[in-house]
Order: sequence, then structure tokens, then C-alpha cells
Amino acid sequence: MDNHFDVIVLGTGLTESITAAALSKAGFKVAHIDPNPYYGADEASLSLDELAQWVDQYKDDKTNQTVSPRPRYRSVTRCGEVPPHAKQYSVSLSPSVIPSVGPFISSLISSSVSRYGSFKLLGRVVIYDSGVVKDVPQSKDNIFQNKAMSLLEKRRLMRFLMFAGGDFENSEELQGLENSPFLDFLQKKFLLSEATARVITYALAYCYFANEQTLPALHRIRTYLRASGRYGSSSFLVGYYGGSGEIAQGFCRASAVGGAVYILGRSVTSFVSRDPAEPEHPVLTSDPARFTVEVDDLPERLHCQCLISSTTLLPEHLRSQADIIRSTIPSCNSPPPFTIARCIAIVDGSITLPYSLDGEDSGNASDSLLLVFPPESLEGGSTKSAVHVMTAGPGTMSAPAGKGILYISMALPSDSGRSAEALLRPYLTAVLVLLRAEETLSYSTFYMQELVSYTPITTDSLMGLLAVPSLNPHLTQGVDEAAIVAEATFWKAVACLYGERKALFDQDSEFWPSLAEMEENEGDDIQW
Amino acid sequence: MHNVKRTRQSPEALAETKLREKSKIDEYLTLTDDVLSRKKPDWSKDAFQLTQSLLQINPEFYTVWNYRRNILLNGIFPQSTPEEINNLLSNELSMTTAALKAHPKVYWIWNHRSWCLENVPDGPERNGTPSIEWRQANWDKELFVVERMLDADARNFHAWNYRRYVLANMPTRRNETSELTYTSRKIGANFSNFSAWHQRSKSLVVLWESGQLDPVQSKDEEFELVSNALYTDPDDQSAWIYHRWLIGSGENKEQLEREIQVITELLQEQPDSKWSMESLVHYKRLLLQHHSPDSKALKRECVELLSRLMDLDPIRYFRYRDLTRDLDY
Repeated sequence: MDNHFDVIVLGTGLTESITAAALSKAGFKVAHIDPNPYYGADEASLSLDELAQWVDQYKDDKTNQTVSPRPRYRSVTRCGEVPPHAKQYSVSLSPSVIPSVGPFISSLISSSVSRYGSFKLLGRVVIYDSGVVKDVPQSKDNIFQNKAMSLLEKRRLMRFLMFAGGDFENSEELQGLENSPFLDFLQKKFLLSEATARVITYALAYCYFANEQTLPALHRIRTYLRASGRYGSSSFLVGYYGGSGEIAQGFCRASAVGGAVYILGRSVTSFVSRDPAEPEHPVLTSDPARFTVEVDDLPERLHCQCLISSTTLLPEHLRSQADIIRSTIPSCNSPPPFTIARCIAIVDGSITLPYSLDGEDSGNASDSLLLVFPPESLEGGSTKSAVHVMTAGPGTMSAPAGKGILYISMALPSDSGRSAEALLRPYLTAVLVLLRAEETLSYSTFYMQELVSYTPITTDSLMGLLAVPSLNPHLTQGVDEAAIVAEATFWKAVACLYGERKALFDQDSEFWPSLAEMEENEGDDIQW
Repeated sequence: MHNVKRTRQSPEALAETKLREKSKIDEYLTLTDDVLSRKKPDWSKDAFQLTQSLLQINPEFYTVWNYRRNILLNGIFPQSTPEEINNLLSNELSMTTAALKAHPKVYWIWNHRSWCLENVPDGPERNGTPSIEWRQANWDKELFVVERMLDADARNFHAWNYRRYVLANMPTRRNETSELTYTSRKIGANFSNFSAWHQRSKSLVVLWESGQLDPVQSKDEEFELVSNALYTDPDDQSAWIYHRWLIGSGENKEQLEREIQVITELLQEQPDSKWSMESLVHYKRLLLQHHSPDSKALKRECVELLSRLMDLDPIRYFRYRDLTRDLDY
């Protein structure tokens, strides 16, 4: 294999995979490496036995790995046995939903990777309050039919939604309050009751904490309001076979179709960068490579002009010299969380909520549900953090018939002294009670996921060395952020490669090459 | 035409298209000549087939629809058994269903359907007497078609009209309560729908007059329902118009005063709601007319509201000014 590449990408996480696919389709020579034997890295979709192995690895991991920093996963516990038919489960390490309008879905469509996967609408979104769940009103007709809200509250809620769906940036209601807590903003400026303000904050804007700022929350709400109706009443789609990991694999497939080389299951054993003191040469066809990597078990070394890596796979000495791409979307949660406590539970039984409201037909109930526990809503639960629960079942081919997966996650604003299990077990119990599935838990695992944030470097970064941060774990925001970071990384890579591959880079090129225009049908003779 | 992209074509491509179209035009003109020259009195199967080909190209050619119906009546039916007639008409109905998918607004196709439905003979024979089964089956299917259309577009007033026609002509009448439920469903899904509210008003009148629903309690429930719509979207006219129908001539003083209070609260919450102001003026004038003709307070309130309306809705300035004068305050 010719071992000179334009770009080497390390890590097949979602962001890196989007970038690799874009570069490959743009005509660059790409090599894509991942130490894991599967695609998706930290957001992979794993079968149940792969998950059990992954859990055991981190549970017993006492090694001081020199290549990566402090353990990304800690406080790992597990309980129960892996049920049979392990291969029929697709468990996501980073469950997420896809907003129907946004940079991620646009990338999925423009790159044609959407054809590699299947998607369905998210089912109900419910919020937990005093021991019961309530549907979150998503649209005008939901609000109209709601029996629990007073007339006045309906008017105020509608007025807020109209405001949030429009151009609020220069509105007088918002002036000076952009960074104020969203909960307060809702109650003071729109005179909403505390109960309604909580529903909006935690189950429409999907805030983690009570002190989250107004402007980013409004941005999120506007995106989701505009997404509603595109494919159905829900603003979100759910990917089959575990979501993000499967989609990352789809981008890798697109990348391979574009000519990229894939190396899975092997680590990089050494990195060498060309001496940065050397002055940059003008374009020569035999320009020496900027970076050279050695891959475990491969005799030939690989060379490239541009090295893109997830931050977790870069050794310390390189990471401090890398240009770490930051996302700049206005809807990032502010303040951001510090750690995420997670639980994955396998349930031997149905995971649909029994319908009790509005006499709706429960025959076609979706098994992809989103359940939000606001702070202070559960006895024994958190007083500061919201908890998101997502279900996945046979409807998205994530589990065999009659079984299901529960994902529980809690963002923490600071280091907590407690274990992941202590924090989340009350929620698991509450959810099982709601699903009337108390006795059906077969396997569960709890763990803490560290969210490392790297300080931006003050000196110039090494030319051609780009680092991509870990996927934002937020349920609804994560994938859009991944698409934006991926595009920014793509353009930086292109700029760095511009000198070497001038012919390839066309001034007006787009992130994804445009789809060929479809032939227009001539005439419409319909035989009847 | 809707949904047809504008294409910029080169002169060669344009010439090509013209050539292709010319052959289609010629075909059409030949066919038309053939059919029209046959009109009197050719009732043959041949002619029948020709009308089909022609109508496929141009379903708006109503003369040819008439001709087709005449062929059926004069040429084919006299030689057919009731069963054969039923089959022929069922065939016509499926044909028009397919045609409607491509041309959903062509009146002449709808016409033809109605004619077919009305001409379904009695049958089949049960215990020696003809039953109404064929007719029942065809009208039931028709209702199903209308419901599909309303699922696709709940605001299509042609479909609502047609729905009333079908319900009126069904051999065994549906009960009115189920119709009321149907309107509830449509209104619940999207209350910005004049036709659904209108249909609801028609159903309610039938139910009140037949004694199946108590008018007083039912009206109160309706006020409750429509208030939810008014508060959810004060700009939606269909709800206001329904509310006005419920009030009617304003003879029920208690109801009138209660609703005035409800709308006043809405106006306080949403001070720019034009419809709230307009309705308050209208209802307070009803109070003046029927219950308190000398109330200076009411007159003053109306004048204040009208003055606000003149600012808020300047294109109707003169109307509000005329109303102010009529109040004679």
C-alpha cells in the first residue's frame, strides 16, 4: 500500500468520521485508524457482549496508559448477567437524538450517508413530576387540548413559543438578560408559572442545571420548534441500531467509497513530526511529510501532511501543540457540565409507557421515548441536575422483540464525591416502576464519563496538526455540534493541504459535493 | 401550475419539446373529432371506449362526460341486468378515484361520481326482494374516500361539502353524535378550521332539536371548548366566528355577561388582540340592545374600545367611527 497520504485521521468517533468522509469525497487521500476493533470510538454502538467486555475493561483498568490522559471512565460497576441473544442488541455509548433541522441532518443528507441507515421519529417526550409523567406540549394543538393548564397559562405559553420561534436576538424582552438564568427569565418576563417554566427549561430546552443561561436555551428551543413538522410532529429522529455509532460507521463507509484506507484494531505506536524549526518549503512534488506514524504490527510507516486526531488519542506532547477545534454554535449549554454519570440497563420486558392521556391509541406506541427528571423532582435524586432517560427497543432494531434498553444520564456541574451508581440508582428504580417493569432488569452498568476540556494553547500550533474534541454528550445538541466541528476541521485541513494539492481545491467547493441533479420527469401521463 | 419547476431550456431542447407536444396535440385533436362527430346517436361500445381515451387526456371535457353517461343510460344499461349495472358503475367509480388522484379539483369528475352513486340499482336480491346492499356498500366506500381526503387536508371545504352530500344520501343514516365526535377530532388536531367548526354547528343544531343533547349544558361546554381556542391563538378567526354563532342574538343575559368577562380577561393578557376588542364591542352592543338599553357605562366602554381599534386597525377607521356615532354616547 502506498504509505503517503494527504491526511491521517485517528479515531473513528462521529466527528472524526464526518471529517474523514468529507476529505475523502473531496478527493484527498485519507488513512483512518482506530485502536478499537469497532467503529465509533467513545460513541460506538456495541452488541451486548461487546458492551460487557468494554465494561469489564474499564472496571478493572488500573494501567497507567501513557498515550491517553487520566481515565475517561471511572466508578464503573455492573450487575446481573448478559442475557441471551447478545448480538441482537445495539447499545450506544453516547445515546443521542437528531434534530430534524440542523447541521447534522444536513450533513447526513448531503453526504448521502442517510441512505446507509434507518431513522424513525422520536416518540413521546415526558417530564416527571410528583410521581407521574406528563406529556410535554410540543405544538399548538397539544396546548389547545391540554386539560391541566389554565386558559391564562395557555396564552402565556403560546406567547413565549411564538417569541422563541422568531427573531428574539434584538427583542426588548431579552435585552441585558442573555446570560441570566433561563428559569428566572421565563417567570419574570413571560409570567409563566414555575411548573410551566420547569417544563420549558428541562423538556423543551433540555437544560442540565437551574442556572443555565437564557440565550443558548432560546437558541435550542428555536431550533427544535423549527424542526417540528419536518418529518412529523416530533422535532427529533432516532437512528436505528444504536444511533451515533452506526452513523459514524456510515460516514466511514462513505469515506472508504471515496478511496480512504481503513485500519481498525491497531494502535499508533509512535508519532514523529518534522522539525518545526525548518522553514516551510514552497510546493514541491516530493515534499517531505509533516508527520509520520508507526502503527502496531504494520511494517511500513505512514506519512501525511495533515494529522487529525481525537484529543483522547493524541499523546501529551503533541496535544499541547495541536490546534483544537472548538465549536462556536450559540446553543451550547452554558455553563457546560463537568462529568456525566451514566447508566445502561437491559430490561426483559416492554419499555413503552402505558398511555393514559387524551385517549390516544397505544397500539402503535413508540419504544423510543425521552423522559426528563428535572432537578428536585425525585426523592433521593439530584437537587441540582436534570436527568435524561432514553429508551430503545425493537422499534429501532436496538433490542430483540420483547426486550429493551434504558439509558440514564446525569450531568454534574462539578466533581461529585458519590459513585455513579449511588447517583443514578434512584432514577433507575423510578423508571422501572413507571414502566411497570420492576422485576425485569437483567443486566445493568453504571459509570462516570469524564468530560475533559483542554485549555487553548497560547503559542502557534504545529502546522497541520488538528485535534477534535470528544463528542458533546448532550442528548439533543451533541450531533449538531459534531457536524459543526467536523466542518470547521475540514476547512482547516483543506487550508493546510492547499499548497500541496492545489489542483484539487476549487475556490467555490462546498463541504459536501452537490448531489447530481435528478432528471426531471417528462410529462405525467397517468393511465387510468 | 403548482409544483412544476421552471426550466431553462436551450433552443434545441425547446424545439424538441415542441415536436413531441405537437404529436400529442395532433393525437388529441383527431380523437376529439372522432368522438364529437359521433354524438348522435352513437351508443356503441366502441364509442364508450373512445370517450375513456379522450377523458384520460382531458378530464375537464364535460361534453364528453355527458356523452359517456348517455351511452351508459341509452346503450349499455337497457341490455344489462341489475348486477351488471352495479359492476359497471363500480368500475366507473374506481376509474374516477384514480382520476381524482391526478386531478383532485376537477368538478366534472366529482359530478360523474355523484351520478354513478345515485344510479346504483337496488340489489342484490335477498329473500326475493331487492335489498339496499349495493347502494350501502358504494356510499360507505364514498364516505371512506371523503375521510381520506379530509385526513390529507382538513380545510378542504369542497370535501366537507361533499361529506355532507354523502351523509345525506346514505341509505341508512349515520347518527349525528358520531358526526359531532368527528368534528371534535378534526378541531382537536387543528382548530384553525372554519369548515370543521361549521360542521360542528350543524350537528349540534340537529342534536339540540332532536333532544339528544340539552342545549343549555351543551352550549356551556361549547363555550368552554372555544375559549381554549381563543386563548391558545387569539388571532384565529374561525374560533371567534364560532363563538359569535354560539352567542347568537344575545338573548341569554347571563351567558353574554360571562363571555364578556372571559374576553375582557383575554384582552388584559393580550392587549393587542383586535378580535377581542371587536367582539367586546359587538357583545356589549347586544347587551345594550336586549337587556340594558340605557346603560351609559356600557356605551362608554364601547366608545373606548372603538377608539383603541381605530388606532390598532386603521384600515377600518371609518367603520369604527360609524359605530361610535351609532352608539350615540
